[in-house]
Amino acid sequence: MNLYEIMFIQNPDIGEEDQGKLLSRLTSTISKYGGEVIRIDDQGIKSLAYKIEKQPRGRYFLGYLEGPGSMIPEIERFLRLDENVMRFVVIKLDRHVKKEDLLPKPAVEATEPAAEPKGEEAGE
Amino acid sequence: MQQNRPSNPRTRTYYKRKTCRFCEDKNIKIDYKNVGLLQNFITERGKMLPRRITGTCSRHQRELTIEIKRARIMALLPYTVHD
Repeated sequence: MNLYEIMFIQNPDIGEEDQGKLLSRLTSTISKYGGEVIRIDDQGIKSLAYKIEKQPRGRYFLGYLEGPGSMIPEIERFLRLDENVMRFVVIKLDRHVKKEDLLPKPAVEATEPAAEPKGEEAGE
Repeated sequence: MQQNRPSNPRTRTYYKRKTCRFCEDKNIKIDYKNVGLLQNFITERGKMLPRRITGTCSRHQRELTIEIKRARIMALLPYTVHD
């Protein structure tokens, strides 16, 4: 099993419904081919460095997956066929990257917000 | 080269040896998502800067090349900037 990073740009004009549909279909494609979604984050609408499909802006998504290498062609095929996906890139992560580092960590931020800033100031 | 062409001591210029930023600070991760960092290694027109200008070592220049190209694919960096 390998870890992968996936980033794709979605057409910003599509509705929230289609957006959710795309994500759920992507997730089911991944699990169908033996993969697991660690997380997928919506990074919001950003302006593009150049126009893609005559669009100056796009909605960025960044996700992390775990699964066998054989699932990658299927994911790429899915993203290529979907009209609302403007661009994508799938990157295999280094071996020393641990799955735990990629998990969402809202709990850590919530438990020690008071202790953190002091340490940072002293460090700098 | 230096021995074949003796330099005039009066016109001789000294350069501070450039060092690779990524070898100096191992914590810097070259990543296509870090657009601010990559922008230091491209020209205003969007072309990649050569090693002799930036002082990057060959290993890190190779990594930079890959990450800049990834950033271009994802429209985080331009392929070219024209008037």
